[in-house]
Amino acid sequence: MRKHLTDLMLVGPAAILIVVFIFMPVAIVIVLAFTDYQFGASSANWIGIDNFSTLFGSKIGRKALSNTLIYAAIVIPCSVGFGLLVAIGLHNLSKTLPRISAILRTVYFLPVAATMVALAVSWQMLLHPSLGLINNWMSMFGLQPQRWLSDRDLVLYTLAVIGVWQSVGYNMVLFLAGLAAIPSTLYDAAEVDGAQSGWAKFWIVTWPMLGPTTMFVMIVTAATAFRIFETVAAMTGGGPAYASDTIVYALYREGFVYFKAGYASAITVVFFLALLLLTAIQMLIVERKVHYR
Amino acid sequence: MKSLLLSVGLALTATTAMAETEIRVHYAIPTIWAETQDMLADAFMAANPDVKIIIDGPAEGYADGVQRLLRESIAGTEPDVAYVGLNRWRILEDRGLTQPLDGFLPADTAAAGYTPALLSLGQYQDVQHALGTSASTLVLYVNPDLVTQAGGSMEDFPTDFDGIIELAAKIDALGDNIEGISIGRHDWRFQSLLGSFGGRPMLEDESDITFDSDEGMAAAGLYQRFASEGGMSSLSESEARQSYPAGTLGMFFESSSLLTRFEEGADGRFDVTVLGTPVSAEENVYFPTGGSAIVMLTDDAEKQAAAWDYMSFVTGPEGQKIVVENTGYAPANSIVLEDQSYLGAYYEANPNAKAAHAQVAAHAGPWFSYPGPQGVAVTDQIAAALVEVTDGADVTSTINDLAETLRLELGMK
Amino acid sequence: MSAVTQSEVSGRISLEGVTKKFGEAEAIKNISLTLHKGEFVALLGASGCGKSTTLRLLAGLETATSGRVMLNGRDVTKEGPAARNIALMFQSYALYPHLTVAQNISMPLRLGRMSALQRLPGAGLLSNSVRGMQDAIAKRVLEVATTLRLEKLLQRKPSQLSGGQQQRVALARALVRDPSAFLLDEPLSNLDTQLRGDTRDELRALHRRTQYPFLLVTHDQSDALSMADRIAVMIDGQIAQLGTPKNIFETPANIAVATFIGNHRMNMVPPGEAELLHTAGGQCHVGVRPEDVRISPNGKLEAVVESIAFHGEETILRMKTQNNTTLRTMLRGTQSLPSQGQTVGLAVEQSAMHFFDRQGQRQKVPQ
Repeated sequence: MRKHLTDLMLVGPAAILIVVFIFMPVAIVIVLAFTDYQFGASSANWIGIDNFSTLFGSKIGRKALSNTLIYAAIVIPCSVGFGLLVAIGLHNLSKTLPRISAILRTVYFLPVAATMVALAVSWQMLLHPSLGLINNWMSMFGLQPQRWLSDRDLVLYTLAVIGVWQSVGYNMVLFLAGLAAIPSTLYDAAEVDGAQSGWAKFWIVTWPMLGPTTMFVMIVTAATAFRIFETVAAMTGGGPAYASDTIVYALYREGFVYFKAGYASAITVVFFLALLLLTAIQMLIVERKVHYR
Repeated sequence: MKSLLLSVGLALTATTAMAETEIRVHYAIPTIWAETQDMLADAFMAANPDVKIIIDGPAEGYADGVQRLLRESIAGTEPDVAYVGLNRWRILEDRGLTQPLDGFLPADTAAAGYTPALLSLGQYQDVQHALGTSASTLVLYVNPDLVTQAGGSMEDFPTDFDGIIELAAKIDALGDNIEGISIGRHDWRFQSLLGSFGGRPMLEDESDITFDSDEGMAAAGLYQRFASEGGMSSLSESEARQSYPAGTLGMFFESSSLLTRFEEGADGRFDVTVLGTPVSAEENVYFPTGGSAIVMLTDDAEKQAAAWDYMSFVTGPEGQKIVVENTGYAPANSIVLEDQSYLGAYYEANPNAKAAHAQVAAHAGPWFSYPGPQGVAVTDQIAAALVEVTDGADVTSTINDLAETLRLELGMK
Repeated sequence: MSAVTQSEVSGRISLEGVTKKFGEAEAIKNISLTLHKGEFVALLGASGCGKSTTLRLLAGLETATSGRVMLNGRDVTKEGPAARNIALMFQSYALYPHLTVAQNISMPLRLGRMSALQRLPGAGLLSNSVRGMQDAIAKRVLEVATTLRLEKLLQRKPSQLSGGQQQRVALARALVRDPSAFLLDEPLSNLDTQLRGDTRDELRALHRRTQYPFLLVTHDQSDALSMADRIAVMIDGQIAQLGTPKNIFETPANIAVATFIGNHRMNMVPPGEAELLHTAGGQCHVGVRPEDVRISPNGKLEAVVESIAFHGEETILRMKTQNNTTLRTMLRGTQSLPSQGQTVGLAVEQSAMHFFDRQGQRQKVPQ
């Protein structure tokens, strides 16, 4: 009995904190999602699933959802793929030119370490239609200059490229760690078994051995991709004409610019459930497919 | 001797008792306002030693500021007085946080410098909730060098939109990197063009949308004509704000509040020149006014009196002189404009400011904010429709659709 | 020593004057070694002596700095492992953890017989010829797996197998093709004593059955002595002696080999003091294995007993002579033991003596 009491006393404070600071706010958000509560208002009406039908039914809501999906569909494979490519390149380079490899590693990691808002400002300058370096280079090579951030058909892809640029370095570091953990005898074994090209060795050893790393990198990249916010907020404000509106930016806009706390809560709930589902699926795959040991 | 001591003691207690009224003031955008706010507070306290002004840590922008006020009001820790965006005080009014000012205003408001146009900036349904503290309207920034290169001249600069579009096309043809004209695809710019044609976005009683009128079509049509005839490429707001001071944008419709920033940015590369927005109608012309307003939040009678003293000081000629000289905003008090003794020397040195401020004095009008919970959200929809029109969508059907959407969203139907 | 003189051409695989440098360090110094068909050679040496590098040079995983690697009379010095078709069983087994036992075993065949395109998953569904190849490979895998008692484990992953089973999978993967030589890197070092004995027998049997040239790399002389036809003793990047186990044990070519081989380190009495054992000892080192040292009152060489270690059937005495030479003797049975600190006389049969000159090379001494 005494022991139980001590246990309770030890667990108690943390449990109370978790309830107060995690479960209660989440519960409040879920309740708010079914109301038309306005930030600062003294009362709210219960409106059922209206907020959710607006999100999935309205043009603007659907645009934010589809933009986020397109963005993620570009960023996840590209960022993971380039991250792997760069990591393999640097891993091989480190055997012959360790100094240069270390420098390049730092260079690739810089965007990860830097503040996104500061980077957004420099990207805005680079991408400026008439003053920016990128369009200057484009016209130097005889290419048509583009309105990278103000063309409705282009802006989302521009943001996606920046998203890839930003996350490649992080993925590269994770992959480098994964590569270093592959026992070199496996490559010897593959060579003895008859794998002659680097390509064959990649598919027989590197790729499967990186399975757990790749899965982890995918989860991390997906989580950041679906949460895309900073670049949108700092560079486009979701525009022009909602062309770069994303789910988290919409959440911010509805909640903190429009003060529609109820609707913003509904977006939060949907977003939370989607991420939960994604994580659950990926965890399942991780358990099933890439659990070697 | 004893009586002298006693009277000194009385005087001391009297001053300490009087100085006990403390007024907490909230403001936003410290990059523009920090020093000005301190000067206003110091000047006011020098004249009113019985009131102590305490300035809260500022919010980054007006949106953040309103957010913070709403949060504080829920917690019951809101300040007594707050500076808010001219288009945002309605959010506070909607939540019942602002105190009506009609009881405090003098009988002869015009004599105090509060013209009907200026008062209209803070009125809703004939109740005065806010007073303007700084004002800006849409003006035309011109790069005279590019105008001259394109074969135009500042002396016979076009006074109507047709002439401006023609000039824009010529400037645009100067080079790949040169843009002729730019205007933000944004609710406030649209309201300004609408006002130039004598139109209004809504009925006074906010019961219906009215920008699907001839004036509205003409205003929205300008966006399309700027693009198709004037060669306007849809630069984003921040891109255009970089291009103009860099000298690659010929004409730029923007807020007069950016004057100082552009002059600093151009850094002598060319003479930043401000002209009024063309007036395209005989009557009903107005320009929606941006800037800041001050609202009273305290419901404590004693504090209200002191708060009003502060408010009337900062909206009065002395306070407005400080605001104009330090921020470049147009004043929201007519005395300071009419009486040369306040700002005569300033305008002598800053002709651009004079042009901008003259437009405020002549045509200031309310920046309509749309009512109800969707009020802010629909402004983004207006911006989106303007993007579509600029990109070539049919003006009439787009604007009609937009008006219908707004009526639905705002519950006017 | 007669085996070395066999003709070069009949040898299946050989190193000819091979040197391997890593940077400035010479790991292998001018080694020549030939593996003949049907022969089981052990490469025996302490860790770091260069035996693993030698093995990698043979397999083609390292390229010789100078010298030649010959395979059936063909120069393969610059060719990779695939071209040499040499099977190698790694010390760590190096099984692919993500593949099943069957897939692990079939890998050399899939890589050898099928193109990258044909290896793609699902290719068998589209092409009859690919399906034919897959069937042939599966048949061969089952065959090899059955001989190594792995047929019930084919669908397991390596992580689900015991150490012994993993080793048999590694063996199967090496045997599944028809290799030109079979290299084994420390195959017994990861096994417990019980399994070691069984595996030794199994490897011997495998060798007899397949007749591939086997090269066993080991640091354990009992493995080498018990399994190999010939042993190459490697010391410091060089082959110190090459010969049959009996030959190496009975006539070690130099002091280094003599002290390396044998369950207990051979005693080495330096010239001068050695004269007490044999007249030739004035100019020669005399080596005696501990089991050949007898305690005898007639022994001229005297030593003080320093420690007595009892090992059940045998007892080992550590002693020191007047010249501070440490000697060990192994006593068997129930004979009476001297006590610690006692001075004893030591005697050795002449036939048990090994003579080495001052450079450490074996000397023939007339009886």
